[in-house]
Amino acid sequence: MRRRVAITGMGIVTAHGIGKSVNWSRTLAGESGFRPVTLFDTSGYRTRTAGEVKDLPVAGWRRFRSSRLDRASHLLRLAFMEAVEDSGWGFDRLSSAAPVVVLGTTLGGMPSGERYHEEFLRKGPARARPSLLFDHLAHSQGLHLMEEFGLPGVPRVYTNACASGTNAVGHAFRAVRGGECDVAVCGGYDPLCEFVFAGFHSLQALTQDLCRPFDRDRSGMALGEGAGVLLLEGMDHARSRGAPVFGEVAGYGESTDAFHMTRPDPEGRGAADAMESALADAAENPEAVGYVNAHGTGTPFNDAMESAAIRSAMGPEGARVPVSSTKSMIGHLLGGAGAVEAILTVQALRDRRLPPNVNCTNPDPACGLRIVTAAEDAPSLSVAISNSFGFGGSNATLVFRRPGGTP
Amino acid sequence: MTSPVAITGIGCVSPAGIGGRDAALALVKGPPENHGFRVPEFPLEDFLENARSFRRVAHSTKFCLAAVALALRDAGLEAGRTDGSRTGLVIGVTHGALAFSTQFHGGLLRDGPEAASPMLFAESVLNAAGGNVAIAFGVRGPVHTLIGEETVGAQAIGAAMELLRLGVVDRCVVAGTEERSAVIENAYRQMDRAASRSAPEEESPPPAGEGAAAFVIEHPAAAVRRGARFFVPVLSARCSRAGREEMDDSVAMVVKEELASLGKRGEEIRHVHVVVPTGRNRGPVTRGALRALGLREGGTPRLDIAPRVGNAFCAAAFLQASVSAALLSAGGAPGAGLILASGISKTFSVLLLGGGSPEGRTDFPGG
Repeated sequence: MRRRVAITGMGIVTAHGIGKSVNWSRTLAGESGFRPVTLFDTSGYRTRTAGEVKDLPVAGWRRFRSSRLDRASHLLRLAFMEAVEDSGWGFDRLSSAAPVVVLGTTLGGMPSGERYHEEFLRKGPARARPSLLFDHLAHSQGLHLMEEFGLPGVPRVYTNACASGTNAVGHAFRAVRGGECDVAVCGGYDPLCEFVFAGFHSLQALTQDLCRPFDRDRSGMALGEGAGVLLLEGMDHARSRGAPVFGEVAGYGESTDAFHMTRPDPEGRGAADAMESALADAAENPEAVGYVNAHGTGTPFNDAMESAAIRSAMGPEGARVPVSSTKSMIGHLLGGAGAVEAILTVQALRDRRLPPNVNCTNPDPACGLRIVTAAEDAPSLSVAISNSFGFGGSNATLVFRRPGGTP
Repeated sequence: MTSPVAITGIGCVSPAGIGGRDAALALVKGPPENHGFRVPEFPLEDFLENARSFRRVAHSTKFCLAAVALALRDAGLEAGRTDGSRTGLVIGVTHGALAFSTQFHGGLLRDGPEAASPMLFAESVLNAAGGNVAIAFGVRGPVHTLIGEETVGAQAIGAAMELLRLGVVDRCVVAGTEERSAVIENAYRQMDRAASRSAPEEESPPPAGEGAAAFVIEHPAAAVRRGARFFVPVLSARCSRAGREEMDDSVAMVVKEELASLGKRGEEIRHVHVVVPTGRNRGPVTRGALRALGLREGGTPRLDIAPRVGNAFCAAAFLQASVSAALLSAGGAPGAGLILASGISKTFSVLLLGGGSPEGRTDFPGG
């Protein structure tokens, strides 16, 4: 069994705001979501800004005390609620449909883990609250979500660093396409926290300038936070219930560098393999691809590697295809990046408008890519891909089709 | 129902010993005295040619590297004998490299950001074991880390079976790994103390432990094609969660469904393993399983290594599965082993392994 897979719901929370509408309009306008970090003290850091979600609403949980839950759970829940509302399922009916739930995150509820450890060290082991430690575990947020909305089963939670969100969407896609389920909830999330901020600071990966993916003068990444959730459904099933179809997941490819824990293979062989296998999975040629939402972190290593991979996987089309990294506006959402960027890619296909890669004022000729520096129309856009790469050499690529496109 | 696959290699790292099937069987006998629920120190050079590259990894990663090396050796797939792009790796973890995480965070709190160690950060990410194993053994197919409670062992095995079923890979290494941490022990102790105040009749939880276990799993036909002998089939791997129903009812229902989908009867189960982190789940999970099997308490050997080697969370399910696989293979008779695991959030998993033979088999029931 191999059926077409429709996207019938999408929810998104980023520094640009809560919801698709505000995210898409600010993305097309090329607005920066970066602001001074308020969640922790950045006075000891060289970088003081990030794509922090402002005024995150946390109220409204029915089965949990909101104040007890980690920021990660709130991000995930908001994105999930928008996706379900979009889809016309309704929470109760969705629960009865027993969707497969596949999520991706890098470190789950790390803000709670930080608090537990701080209490453990400062107040002593007996006075540290264990609930904080259990909220920090990276599978807790998915369990909270399922409990809150009465979804049966256990979430499958991928933690493949920055590729986690794309892996989650990819594996949910396979489950729906293979007939394992009619509907799947998938996505990724990660909250901003000092642990991760300090980690990337220690790796000297954070820019003190603007985040400039694919620019000659790029100097590093900027962190963000957020969540993206998609509802995937068999196309037949979606049509039979008259559901809106925002787009189609057409292919998924994954590979591993087996090269270095934090550095990508400079030749981008693993990344190219992921793109090639995703296109083969979708039965699409590079000529059909009208847009690449790049991983594009803005670090010298990643962008050089990804450029090489795009040129290798797409052949002559690699220099022609429009490419942009939306991380230039909202930062790197780590486990949330793949799902959020998947949603922005689907929005690009729907509107036939390409989101910009801001701050790329001097495209790096060594990258050799056609970077979209300002939003542009793409009247014939029908197929697009989204890349994610992570620590441990994880590479993953998704292929999307515009709704109504021919498989 | 999932298509059966074959286990062709086993590697075990536990307080009871480090090795292949022998080390798994040693878990039943119990570890040496005064092991402190810790894996004895060992040089990684015994398992890896390029061990020097991994001298700074976390304990959980080191355990995993050794377990995978042993499983690959057991399967006759030493370095250079695998096509890395057709090999997958799925790792299950519950807490990850917590010693490094707490060291990194402690340093940050004490000395500020400039003292934060990039090495500790990079090696404390949850997929550190997966990334390092991929580098060590040249795994270039999908490499996934799944996180979850004790049940993630079955989930990881299920995910690996899926990669095989879809033809994404020809073979998959699947492993679970966990290291002891004072922070985790403290949190579980606090939780158990609170639970025992409300229900003093509950069993005491097993102490926290550590270790890793790895399997090489392959499509039976592919294993036979490369001349491999396999030891036991993995019949099914399923995770679920008790919703509003009682835990024993949920467990009984899922075990029954899995047996029915495989056409198996309860009496074919030769041993039942139960992995639980807290006292409160032990009774309901065991009761539910025995009810589904149509057995009375004590009717089927219930093997539980946790009191002797500690509960290694996700790795405990793998270690129990390796014991089951080793026993089934040693017995050389038909039958099956049932490995149940349960987490603190009413999650549980059901893993069913089929019978094997001491020499390994080259045929496979059902093709």
